[in-house]
Amino acid sequence: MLGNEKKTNFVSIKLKKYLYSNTMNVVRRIVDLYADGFRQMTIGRTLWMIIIIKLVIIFAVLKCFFFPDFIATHAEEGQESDFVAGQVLGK
Amino acid sequence: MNPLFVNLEPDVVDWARAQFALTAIYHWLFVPLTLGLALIMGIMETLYYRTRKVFWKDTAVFWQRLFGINFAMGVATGIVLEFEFGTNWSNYSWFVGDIFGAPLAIEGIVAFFMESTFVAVMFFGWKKVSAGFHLASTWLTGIGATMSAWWILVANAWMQHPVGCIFNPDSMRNEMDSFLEVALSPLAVNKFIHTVTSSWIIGALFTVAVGCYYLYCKREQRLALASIKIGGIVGLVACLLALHSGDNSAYRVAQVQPMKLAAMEALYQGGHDQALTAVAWVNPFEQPDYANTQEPPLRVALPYALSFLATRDIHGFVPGVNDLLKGGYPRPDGTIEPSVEEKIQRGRQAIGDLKLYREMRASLKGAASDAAMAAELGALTQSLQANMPYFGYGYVKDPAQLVPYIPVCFYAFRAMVGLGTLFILFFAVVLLVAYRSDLTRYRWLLVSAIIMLPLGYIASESGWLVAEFGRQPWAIQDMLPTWVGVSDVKTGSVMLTFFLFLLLFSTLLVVEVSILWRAIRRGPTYEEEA
Repeated sequence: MLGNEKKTNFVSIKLKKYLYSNTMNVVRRIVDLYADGFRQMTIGRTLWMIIIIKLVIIFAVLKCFFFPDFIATHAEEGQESDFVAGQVLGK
Repeated sequence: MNPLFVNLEPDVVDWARAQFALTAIYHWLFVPLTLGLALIMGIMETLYYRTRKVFWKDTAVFWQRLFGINFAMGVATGIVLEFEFGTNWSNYSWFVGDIFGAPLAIEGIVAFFMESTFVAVMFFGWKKVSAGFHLASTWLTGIGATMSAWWILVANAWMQHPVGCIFNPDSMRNEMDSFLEVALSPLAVNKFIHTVTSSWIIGALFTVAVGCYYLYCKREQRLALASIKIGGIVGLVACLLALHSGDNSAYRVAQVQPMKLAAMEALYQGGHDQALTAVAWVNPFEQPDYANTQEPPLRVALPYALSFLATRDIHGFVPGVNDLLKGGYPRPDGTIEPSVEEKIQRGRQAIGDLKLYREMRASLKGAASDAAMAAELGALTQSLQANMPYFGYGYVKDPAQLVPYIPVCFYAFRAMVGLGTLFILFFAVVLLVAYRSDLTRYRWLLVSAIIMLPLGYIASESGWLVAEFGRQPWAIQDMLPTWVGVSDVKTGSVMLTFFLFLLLFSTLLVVEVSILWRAIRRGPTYEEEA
């Protein structure tokens, strides 16, 4: 009985190790894919720079300063439907 | 100043509309090329996978590079439309919130996870993953972008023909009643097919134009010719599919947005056996006097074609602008179309019911009061739901407000159809010459291929002009006019952001064109030569 239990434990540990190493292998390959890809970029560097600048302008400037959520800034929390009713039915 | 804008500063609705149109038009410069090139590069990589010839790999890599430039430039250009919903169109956004939430959330998830994952494998994975996995990633990048477009078009189709929803007077929102009815509405399905196939035409025109540029410069001849042949076949097939889906679109529009069809055709007085206008003179700078005019001057028309297009019967009845305003004609389902006056009355009834309902709900006190009012609230809800399809008409003061600007619809429709027909001829000629003769001997054809590319964009944008101008004045068809959907924001702030967007998007466009141009001039890199 005890021998069987030891055997099962041994198999389970081996399986866990195998799965762990396999998972790590996949993760490592994914990290490598991205790391090597980014390292070897040529035109991609310019494109990434443009994307980052664009996202900063869109989210940090336009969204923050020019595009507030109109209802959230004008209606009390939980009273949004009353605010919209006032806007829509008052026109 | 329009007297309807009593609570608004002059022109805020026009500036908000102009801003939305500007951003949507710029966004649409990037999207169709992404969808079109996704198909082209997928085909080229499939040829590499099947033949294992390095030439096809080089070709696929070259088109993937151009795809990547356009993809990067287009990233997040659509997100500003959502900002505008929240700021400029807050009433509208709240009104449709529950319907738009699901498709847009799915779009965000699909776009982010599918595209970002497989784009990375496509660009970085050539020597890292198997050829089969790479090919799958290339196709999944394109499928991800196309699925993304599907959900946006579902949302757009719902605005044109609201289905699968019920209005909740407590939350002031349209709530989804049937996801399938929203996601698979015939208008949405057809809009998706027409939009995607027209995007393939843009991708094909781009491919043929770049190929012809190389042939004109006497360089990259093998890649150019192979690309022109693939682009030509994709373009011709896409044109025929777009023709078929466009015909279906017009039929659907005739069923659910007859005023749009009347505006597209400058059809003032409708009737049976209607002819389809090929050309006519409609003054582009003013709304025609449709009430006192039988038809536009210098009209040349195809007999019975409009009746067939709209009803699938050459003798079918097609209502004109005046018929739609007067009502009283039989609809396709056999019922009689109510007059505008009746619709306005029903809209006012719905607005009055909604006001009363909300006042009663706010004044409810105690269980006894609740019970006493329950029956009255039930009756109000019933009346509201019965008149809700005409809710928007309650805000209409003059029936002329219900007629879209006819010249834009009329000319944009003709630009789209005329250019679409020209592209069929163009792709057929290109394929004939490419397969039967030597393309380099036909310099005029090479030059005309380059001219066709901007014409493709004009046709594509014209399609959107027809779709969006044609549904005016509705933000949601029959339920919410634009001047009610707009927020009570300052005109100055909308004007300011309009010009900010104009600057930002124009800069992006110049940058994209210059990077693309540099990449095209640099040309492909050949692995076999290296």
